[in-house]
Amino acid sequence: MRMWFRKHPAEHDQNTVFALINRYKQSGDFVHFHHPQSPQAYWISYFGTLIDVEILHRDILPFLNKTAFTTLEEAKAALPFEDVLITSDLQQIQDQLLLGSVLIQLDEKDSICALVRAEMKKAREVTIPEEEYSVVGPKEAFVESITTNLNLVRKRLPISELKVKEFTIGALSKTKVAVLYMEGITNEENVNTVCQRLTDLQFHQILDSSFIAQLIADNGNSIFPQLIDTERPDRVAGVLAEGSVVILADGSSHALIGPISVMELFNAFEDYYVNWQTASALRVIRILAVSFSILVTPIYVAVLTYHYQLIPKDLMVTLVASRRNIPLPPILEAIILELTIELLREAGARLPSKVGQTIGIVGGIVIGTAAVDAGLTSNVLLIIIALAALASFTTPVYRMGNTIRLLRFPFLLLADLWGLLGIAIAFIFLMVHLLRLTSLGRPYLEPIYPPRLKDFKDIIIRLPFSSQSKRPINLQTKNQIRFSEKQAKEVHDIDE
Amino acid sequence: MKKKLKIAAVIIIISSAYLFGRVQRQILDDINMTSAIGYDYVDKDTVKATAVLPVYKPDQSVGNRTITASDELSKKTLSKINRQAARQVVNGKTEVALYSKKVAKQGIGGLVDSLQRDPSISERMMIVVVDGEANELLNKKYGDRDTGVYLSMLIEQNMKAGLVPKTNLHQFLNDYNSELKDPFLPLIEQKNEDIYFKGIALFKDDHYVKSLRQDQQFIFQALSENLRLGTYKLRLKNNEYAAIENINTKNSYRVQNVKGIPEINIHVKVKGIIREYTGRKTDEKEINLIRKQVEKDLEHQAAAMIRTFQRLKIDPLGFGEQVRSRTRNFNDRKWLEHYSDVKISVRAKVSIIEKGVVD
Repeated sequence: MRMWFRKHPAEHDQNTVFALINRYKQSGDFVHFHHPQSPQAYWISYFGTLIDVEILHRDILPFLNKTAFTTLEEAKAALPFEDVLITSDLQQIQDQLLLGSVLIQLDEKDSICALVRAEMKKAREVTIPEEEYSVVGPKEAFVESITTNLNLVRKRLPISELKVKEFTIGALSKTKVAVLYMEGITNEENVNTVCQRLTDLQFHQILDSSFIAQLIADNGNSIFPQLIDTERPDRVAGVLAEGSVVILADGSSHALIGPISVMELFNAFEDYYVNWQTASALRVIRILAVSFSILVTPIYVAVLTYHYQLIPKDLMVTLVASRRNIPLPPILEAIILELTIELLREAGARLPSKVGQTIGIVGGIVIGTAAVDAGLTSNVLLIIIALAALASFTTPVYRMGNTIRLLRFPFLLLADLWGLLGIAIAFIFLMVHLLRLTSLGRPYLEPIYPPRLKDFKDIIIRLPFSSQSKRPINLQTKNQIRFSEKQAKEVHDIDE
Repeated sequence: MKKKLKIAAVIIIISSAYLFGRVQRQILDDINMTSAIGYDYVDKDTVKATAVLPVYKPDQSVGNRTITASDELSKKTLSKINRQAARQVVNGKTEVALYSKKVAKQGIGGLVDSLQRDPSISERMMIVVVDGEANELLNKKYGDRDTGVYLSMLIEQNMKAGLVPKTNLHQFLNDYNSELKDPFLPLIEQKNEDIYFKGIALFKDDHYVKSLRQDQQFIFQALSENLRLGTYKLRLKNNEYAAIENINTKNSYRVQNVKGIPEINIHVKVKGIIREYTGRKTDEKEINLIRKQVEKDLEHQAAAMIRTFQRLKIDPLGFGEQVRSRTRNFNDRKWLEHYSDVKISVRAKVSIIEKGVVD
């Protein structure tokens, strides 16, 4: 591991292109050969595994062999490429070779050489989104190639205001990262925050956009995602038009969106493809489901351990009868079941999907009923935990689901320690944390705090498009108006 | 360094909270929740408490177990009851407190006080007076649930139906602590295999003085609250009977001060439906007759009842409160002195809004 960070030994006599090539030749996949044929002899070198051999054979070698040239400038003119680079800068040559360029020299010892980009572009086909699958609406998902991803976004926003800023991040990975924003809409402060954090970023390897999300988060120790990651290009286009900043990384099929507020994590992009009544109802259900998921098990533990007075007399028989033969206190009972569910989920996630189904059956039927029959858990708690787990899967942003499942445990422990008071304390801690959190410097709990009534039009509920004429206040956009409400109200029907 | 200190502080707080900061646990299946407590008279200083402990069986049926203990202090009886129980006895789920008539005659202020001081006891707990021994009543199992829950269901159902005036611990304490009002409680009795409501037990301060019979209950309820679903049985002169149901009542108090001595006029509006009538026809004339008869009956009953109250110097209907809220510079002592002589008149106005589907 240490050697990754060590710089190449500086050998002053080897600071030539020739030395560089000789060094690269130690790699088995580096090709370096001499072309003696007429009309002109030349040297050519490249990484065989990085370049597209078809481009080399179709577009480079035939043209070099056909034309007579004495200088590299003439060779450049002959090649059907628009960006042939002629340079003697050693660093540039080194970088370009590693990015998949073909190096052309007139003589092996020459320090000046031409570089032709011929990198191999291997990427997955654009497929259906899996994490954010929606029944209605477009079904394209990002892939691992940034060019394809940019294309997917650009074709949804074919206007010149869509700007892309590119960065190369990672001392070892040299990952291409793009920051997308809309000029004239997006607040420059947000763009500058992202750009500055990206340039300041010190990490050797960026394998996925989630690396960036963790590294540039406002609070790296928070379990809450401070940037939404999405695999839907339509969502990216949507938030860009809203005034958000989007980060794309090469090799990652997820784009990052910021700044966000915590309530946005309960918005699925599918909400915009169904009518507003359905969308609002679904959002409310999701939020209720999440609060249920976090609170129900701790409340069960608190009430059964401390507050027997709260149980209605009609429920008492069921509860006491189901608990009678269980040797464990409620907290252990709950933790054992919670861990079982987590185990099932984890096992299901690690296994191939066909085996995963078996895990579901084993977990659901065998463990569930057997645990009750064996007298380890009460069937009331089994239902509660299963419902809570189900409810935690309703969050449209996958990372938020993880957060919610994790959040339950401190609540559980405090419920066991101090009962309902403990739950209240845990809730206070959670609220303080959320209040202190920011996403790219914007308040995370907006519009609840700071209270901005107007932003509720697209948070918790979704009002119809006609009443969404203004962009969210939280993004502090340069142009608040999406469309003119007045003009939208004017009806120009043909039968008028 | 500062960060390390912070982390250490958090760890110390959390671990010390876990080690020392424990609240007493009362895990549901390790406790015995009393569902009813009955108090019986032993001698002048001692009460006998009977606690009903429901026994929850794994097949979801409920058994009824009672434990009895006697002591001078009612709270002390709980610890004595605990000596006979395998699981800790707690009283947070007590639905009903029963006092035998004999205990009630001695005064139940001290006994109710122990309920009031216990934060785990609900203010909405029912209190009833038993004609007979509370112990005997509680020892029997009535429905499919334990006696405590059965009793609370019985009382709740009757209160909702408007057959019993609404009372609970909160209301009792409110009346008991008020100078100008006296508490009243439902009076129940066990007969054969059932428990039934016998009437209303009237208190002076915390002493039981008199009970109202079942047939006086309607006018009592009409004067104390606004009934929504009352029933009234009427006996006409010609030995015919009529049942009026779905009665809505509305009372309005009017207080006139004549030279410092108040005069109270109460108007009771009664709206009801004739559901049963043994006579032949219910035409306009007949209905009018019934209406007049009900008005007369009610006024008569009310007058007699209020006279009894005045004679006993008890005020369960809260006339004092009504006067106080309408009088500037109200003097409690003066009112209590003159209470027996105050002129109180009741006027009833009955309207029959429906007489059934036929004719």
